[in-house]
Amino acid sequence: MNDFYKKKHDVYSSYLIELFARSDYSDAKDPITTNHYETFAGDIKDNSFIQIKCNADEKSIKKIRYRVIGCPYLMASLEWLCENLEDKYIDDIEKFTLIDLMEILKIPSEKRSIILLLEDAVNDIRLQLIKKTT
Amino acid sequence: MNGSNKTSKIYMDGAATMPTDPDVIESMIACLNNKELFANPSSVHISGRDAMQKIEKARDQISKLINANKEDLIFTSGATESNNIAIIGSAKFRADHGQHLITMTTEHKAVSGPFDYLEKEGFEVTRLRPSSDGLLDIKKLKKAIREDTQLVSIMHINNEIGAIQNISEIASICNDQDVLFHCDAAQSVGKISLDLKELPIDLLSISAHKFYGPQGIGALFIREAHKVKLLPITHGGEQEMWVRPGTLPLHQIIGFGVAAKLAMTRMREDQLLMKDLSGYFFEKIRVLPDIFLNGPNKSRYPGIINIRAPRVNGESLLLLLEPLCVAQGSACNSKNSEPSLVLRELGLNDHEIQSSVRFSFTRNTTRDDVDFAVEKYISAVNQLRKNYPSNINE
Repeated sequence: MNDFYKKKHDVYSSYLIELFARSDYSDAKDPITTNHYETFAGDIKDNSFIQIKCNADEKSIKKIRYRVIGCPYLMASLEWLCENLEDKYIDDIEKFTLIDLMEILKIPSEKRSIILLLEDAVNDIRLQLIKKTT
Repeated sequence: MNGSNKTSKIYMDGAATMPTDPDVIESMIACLNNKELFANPSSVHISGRDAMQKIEKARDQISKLINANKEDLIFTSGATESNNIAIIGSAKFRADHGQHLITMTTEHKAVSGPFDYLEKEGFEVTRLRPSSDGLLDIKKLKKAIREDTQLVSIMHINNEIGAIQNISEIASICNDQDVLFHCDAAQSVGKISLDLKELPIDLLSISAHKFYGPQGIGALFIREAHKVKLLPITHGGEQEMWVRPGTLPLHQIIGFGVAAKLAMTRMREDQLLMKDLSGYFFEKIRVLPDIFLNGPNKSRYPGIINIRAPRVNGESLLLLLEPLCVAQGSACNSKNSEPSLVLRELGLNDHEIQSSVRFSFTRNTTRDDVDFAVEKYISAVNQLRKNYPSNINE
């Protein structure tokens, strides 16, 4: 089959646009300034790069924020991720899955790398938090 | 006026397509409503002859716009088809003159596509790279022409950056060397003056919807069409000198003719408007630090402005700019997530290409629209930059 027909045309879902426009968890809007955990993922040269910062106590993530350069899918995904990780118990992060995000935000298959990028970031934050609590 | 209060769409994507002029629409509707004109223009009965008369009137109007003989103009479905017929049709017909062809790396896909095809068919293609401002160094062209070169194809105004190539000099060089010169003038016809009795251009592609005519109709100028032969690339009828068979779409051609007539009367006014809007745009936008113009400062069509803002993702920028309708590169390439080839040829990296946006004005654009666009652009760029990752080594 011709590549053109395989490629899904980008159409943003209304939920994606809502998350993109809201950006409640953006570090620019409500920054984390005190001691925090931090991770970076992606490649700035690819125009797809994220920074996630969070405050946590021994049990859970208290506040989580992001900085980003990337497409609307990446920006909305980060907003969704932070909304779902804030107040989460550290022990539960391992079970946290991003597998449904493709469907939730209607992310086209050619943008699948967004999920991998977020998984890397979440995993790194989780390891930092575990290290701190043990 | 506070531009940010606007909620209706503001159209600044004229390089992709211009809004159809109301006079053009009126002429097309009148044609479709006129039962006396309902006929295939190729039919020999009285209705067919009446329809053909209208076709010839439109052909005359379009040929006057470029000061060409109307016998040298054939109708096509648009510039893409014109480019295909001109490039493939002439290269194949003149294959015995030589198998070497020359074009530029910054051409529209409607030109680069036919060259890619011909290359697979055994032709040799030289693709000249522009200078960092998008303009062709004429010395490169002179050096590239060989004894077996039979065709050069270079666009007039670049659709992404507005660079205006010196087609007068290019045409003269080709003419002196007995090489055919084709020019994709989709972005220039109707906007800047073209005199084909003066310019030694052999083949010129025209698109109606780029100058307020209807979509789906265009033309190809073939100098001394009866002498410069082209092999048709479609077959099945004798219309348009056998070069482009198929029923002529009367209402579209009538609209095309009206658009050409309007362009002649409004060209100076349109040019002054584009110059004014462009100057106003730059005056307003300079408060935003760290932005750059892609393409040349001089020899640029003022109705197309391509700017880049480092530390910003263009796709997110476009979404934040809504309801402003602007573009990232060519509309004909927008389903392809590959970065713009034109901007890459200027030496920009992926990040710089991604952070670029094209504004292109129409004759309906106002200073108020520019106020809105600039205000929106500055706010969006600032918002995205504010949330750019911090403490990173770039």
